[in-house]
Amino acid sequence: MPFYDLAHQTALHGYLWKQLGFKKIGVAESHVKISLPGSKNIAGSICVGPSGEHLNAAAKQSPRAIIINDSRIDRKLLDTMKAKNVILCIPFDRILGSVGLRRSSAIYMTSRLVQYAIKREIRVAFVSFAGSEEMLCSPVQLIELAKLLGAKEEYARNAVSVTNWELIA
Amino acid sequence: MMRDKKRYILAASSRPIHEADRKRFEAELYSAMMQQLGEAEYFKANPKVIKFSGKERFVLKVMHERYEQSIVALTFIKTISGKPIGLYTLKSSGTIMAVQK
Repeated sequence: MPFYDLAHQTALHGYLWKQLGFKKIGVAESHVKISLPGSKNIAGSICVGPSGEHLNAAAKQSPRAIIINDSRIDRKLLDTMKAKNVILCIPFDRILGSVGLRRSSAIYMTSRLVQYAIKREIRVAFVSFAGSEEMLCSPVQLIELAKLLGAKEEYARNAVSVTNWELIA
Repeated sequence: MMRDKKRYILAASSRPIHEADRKRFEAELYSAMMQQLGEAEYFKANPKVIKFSGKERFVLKVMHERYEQSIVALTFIKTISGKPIGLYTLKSSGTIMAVQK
């Protein structure tokens, strides 16, 4: 099963990422555009923002995926995402970049969002979104982190393979 | 007495581990894993570095029942000796031979 990831260019300056076992690591802003809610040409991009009216409006413009910054469950937004077949993108950089209680809180909030999205049959992608080499993960690690957030083994494998590919293709 | 099932994890580090620093790296890795797993879970996982291979790779032996938690703990470790580090799980297997292939 080929695995894919999404990261920033700054994480890929070394040679190590080639040994991690991904078929391809997509580069943010190069392979896929990252946009903010309210910006023009949201369609086909990954829209990043906190839950709220702006992100709800952005979801209606058919972005490729949405990253909910604050990991809050916005039922209206998730309904729109399901109707428009928008992927919910879960970046691990916030979980891996924090420590202690902040990390624990981030895991709790993200796991609730992931479990709700899976229950509502919204497609979920799990990516490292790494900004530095240290924040990169191997496919095994992405799958284990997805399982930590409440995804089943089969679902996690499929997300890191098929859904991540749709994200960066 | 039943033998405990083990799992071998081939891991890589984002920065080289020089031969002179291996003992110190091992000690700090165990300490960081204990912090991530908690004392009770650490005892059940019982991680041990059994081999270094090259400058960046090493094989970690853990108990099978705590293998998934050990991978998450390795992922969460981002500093060792006060310096930033990334630890990547490349492969895992039930035998040391298979993991080294």
